[in-house]
Amino acid sequence: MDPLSAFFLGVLDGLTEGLLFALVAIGFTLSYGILRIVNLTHGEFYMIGAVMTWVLYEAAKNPLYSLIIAPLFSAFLAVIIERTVLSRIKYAPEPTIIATAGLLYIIQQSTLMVIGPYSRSVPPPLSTVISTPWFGYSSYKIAVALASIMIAATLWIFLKRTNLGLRMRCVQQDAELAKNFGINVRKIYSLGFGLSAALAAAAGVLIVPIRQAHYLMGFDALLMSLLAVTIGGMGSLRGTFLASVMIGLFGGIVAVFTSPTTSRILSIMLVVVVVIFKPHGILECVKK
Amino acid sequence: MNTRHTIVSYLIILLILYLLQFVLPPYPHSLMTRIMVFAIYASAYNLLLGFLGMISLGHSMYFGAGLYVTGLLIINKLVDPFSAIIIGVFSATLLGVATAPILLRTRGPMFIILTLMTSLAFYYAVILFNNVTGGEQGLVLPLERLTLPAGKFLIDLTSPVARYNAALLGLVIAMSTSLTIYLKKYSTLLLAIKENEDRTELLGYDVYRHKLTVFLLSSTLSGLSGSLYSITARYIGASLVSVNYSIMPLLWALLGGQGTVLGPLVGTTFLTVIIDIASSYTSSYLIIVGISLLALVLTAPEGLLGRIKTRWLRV
Amino acid sequence: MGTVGAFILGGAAGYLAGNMRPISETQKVGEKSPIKIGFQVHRTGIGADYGYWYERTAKAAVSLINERGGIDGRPVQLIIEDDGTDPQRGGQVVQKLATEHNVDFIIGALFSNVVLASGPVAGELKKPYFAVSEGTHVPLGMLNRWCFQPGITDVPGQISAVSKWIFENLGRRLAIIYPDYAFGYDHRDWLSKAAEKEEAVIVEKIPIPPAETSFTKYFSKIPQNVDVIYHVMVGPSILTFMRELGEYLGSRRPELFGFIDSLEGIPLSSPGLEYLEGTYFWEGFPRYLEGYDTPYNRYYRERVGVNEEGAAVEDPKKVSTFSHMFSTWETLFVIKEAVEQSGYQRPTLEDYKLFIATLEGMEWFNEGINHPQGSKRFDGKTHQAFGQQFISMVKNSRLVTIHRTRIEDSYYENENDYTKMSL
Repeated sequence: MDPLSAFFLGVLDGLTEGLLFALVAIGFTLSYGILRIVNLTHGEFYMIGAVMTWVLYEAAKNPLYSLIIAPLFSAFLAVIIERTVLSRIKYAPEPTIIATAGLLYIIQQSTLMVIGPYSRSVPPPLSTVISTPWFGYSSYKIAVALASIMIAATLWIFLKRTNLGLRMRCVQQDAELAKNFGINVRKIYSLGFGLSAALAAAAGVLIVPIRQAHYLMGFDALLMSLLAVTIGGMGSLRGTFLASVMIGLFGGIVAVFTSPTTSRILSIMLVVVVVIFKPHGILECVKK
Repeated sequence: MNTRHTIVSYLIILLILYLLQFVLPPYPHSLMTRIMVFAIYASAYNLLLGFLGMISLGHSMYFGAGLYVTGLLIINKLVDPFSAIIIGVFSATLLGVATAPILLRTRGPMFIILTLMTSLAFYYAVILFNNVTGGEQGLVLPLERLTLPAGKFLIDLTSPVARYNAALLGLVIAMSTSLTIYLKKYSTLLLAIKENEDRTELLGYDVYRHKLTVFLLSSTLSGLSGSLYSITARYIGASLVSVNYSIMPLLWALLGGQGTVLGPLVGTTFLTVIIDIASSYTSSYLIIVGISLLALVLTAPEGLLGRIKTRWLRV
Repeated sequence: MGTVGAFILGGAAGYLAGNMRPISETQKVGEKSPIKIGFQVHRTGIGADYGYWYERTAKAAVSLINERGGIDGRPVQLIIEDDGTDPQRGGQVVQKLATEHNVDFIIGALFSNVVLASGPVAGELKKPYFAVSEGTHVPLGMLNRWCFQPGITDVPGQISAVSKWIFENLGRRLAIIYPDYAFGYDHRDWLSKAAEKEEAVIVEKIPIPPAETSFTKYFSKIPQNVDVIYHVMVGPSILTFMRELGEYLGSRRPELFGFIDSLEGIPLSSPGLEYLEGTYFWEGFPRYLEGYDTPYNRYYRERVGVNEEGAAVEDPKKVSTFSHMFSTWETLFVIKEAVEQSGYQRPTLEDYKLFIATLEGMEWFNEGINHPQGSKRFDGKTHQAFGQQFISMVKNSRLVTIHRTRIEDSYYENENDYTKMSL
């Protein structure tokens, strides 16, 4: 393929990948912003979203319901975790890491025991291939990218325009102060954590027709989130979203020109470089 | 805390470890060797975690430096095993020196993520240079290079006895380092840094230098663990420098109790034994690990030993 | 002293733990003591889908062997440990099977990194270790005289056998897509060697990092003017790989030759795979019964519980890893044959020497219920088996076998000689 088309393909593919993982990443940054925790279980909610989609597809043959059911289920699970585990350990950093690591194993292995080690697939609702003279590209992938933007935009509006969103932002800014203002911080914590899990799950639902549902898939999502959050700034929704897109784009383009493993190393180096020069993220917003 | 009390307890534990090799049946014996090698890693990790409160998710890089340098030197028949270990450990120190300026600039979550990134880069580099490192498949250390004639004797580094004692020796070095810091006033300074870095800086201390010292000790000892692993397991491979092996020492150290000297050993033993038992009984031993971690964090957030420490004893 | 107490407790727990009995397959226990065969399985981790079928097939073989009187009149007891597809655990599991469970033999792993961490341990503990892997670790001398691979052919052999067919029938300009680790390098290197000999050329080599989940961006490296795209992929994302390849190639595509590894465990009817119509695959053992319909194949499938389409009888969506799992079955029967021929009795060095000498002297494993995949020629020096390979074409979403290679086609040059090592 000539370099220009290859480049274009790289851009397109990188963009769609970045947009999709952006959903997972902003979920992660939300839980950091509001609860101030590094949640290692986050990738597993993504996996649950994907797996549930397959389960529901097998049961009811209609995957659209999963877009609602899976995030709800994940949110529900997340709230339970938050209430029973996280609040008990008072969201302290180290215990949270162990706890979420423990939960990671539990959720992962439970899934293994229930659905087995196979990769499960679901047919995409849109199976047309957009054919350009240079390459074919799945229309579903494009739809997913658009969906991701829409969901992120909805979240943004929710946080900026609604009362509940306002309260969440208050807690994110300063939980202590928020409490003094009469905001039920505990409730916001639960809701925030639930919302972050729902976002990850939604991404999982969207991605199943393109990738597969597999019990180990959560780890990659976690990694991508960490990458995006490092560059974009912990707790910054805009920064994280942008960073995820950037990373995807960068990865897609670099992959066209170098060997895949090299492109991975370069992507990581990019992150390191950014952190050296902008330790708080590209948009320099830690508390936003 | 009673210094003499602490040292005596510590020496008794070491004596028990030494004597254990004469009573353990073959499998627990070899298992204990593996545990001790990993306990070195956990202790090294605990220097950063326990004394400075820094959570690194990238220590597999330093473990890997020791692992690969020692392993490759032996595989390529370049030096004898002892030199290979020394060079391997030293290379871990060098890697620590090289990465410290980047890593120590950051704190908290950023530090966590950045260490994760750098160790990932190391992992992919190992895969990229697979014609040297053996990549994901890995390489085997040849038997012949692990037996050395020394005068009239033959030092066989592949015998269970040699391995056990090599691991024990490494563990003594690691734990003594921990103990020394713990007992001296240095630990108080480190605690001050851990609690409030800026304030300590304001008080006139060169915080960076102290962080660097502990960081380098931590990376060096992690390298020692890696070196010893390559020799006792006779295998080097990319899986050993994957993110998994950055998470494990965190779990080992936290499980055992991060403020303590013996904590890492206890944590490593506990988790390894649990996994070993569980894998015979369930088809998914990691779930037992997950449950143990959760149970531990809910009932004893200071770790097993930390719990004992606050309840009964100071060690 | 609380801490000391804690530690002693820990030690005691460890000691006791080491002495507990695991789950095992015990069949009818006769007067004779059982032959214990340790089995290192990828029950969890990235190899878990293969591990499931390996375990199922091995248990089926053991059940058949025991029904027919066991090995040398002794019942076979399979002792299974999960290695988590992790080399560190692999080595530990070998230690446990050998020194804790005191097994007679160990059947090992599929993933070559686990094999590589396990073989040396088996050699030190002087326990015969049977890899079921396809890797070059055993035949090319990376391991030791205690390691064998008699139940499955290796990648160099497979490629030696099929490469000529590929060049002659599909074309001489190829691009190869492979995983960026040893298994992939074996494909890359041995295909390159074959190409040199046959005046074919590998125009582009595209390595994909392990655990990659999205592949489209790499496909732009596929040059325009190749005759054949040769692909092999492993891992949970193989379906994504195959689908994205199809999407990318669109309607005008070169010939495709893949190794069935890219589709093991995946139904051909999966959406997105329609483009595979008319493309070719290497199979180690044809998934569809019609590809190699023999009474042995039929009976083998019956015992393991696999239907004519290569899927589990209880769930046709659960496609087996048919091209690989027979290795455990055939290995168990090789052990049986070698024990009975050598007069092996118990796990002592003398008995093992007899066993190994006998095994190294064996040249042919004849096709039959013991070896349903086909006859094997065994090389006592390299400890590797050679067998027929199958080339199948995709037709109406099924695999139709169109060519079977001769065993001789798969020979390759190998200087390795384990018999020179002392035991």
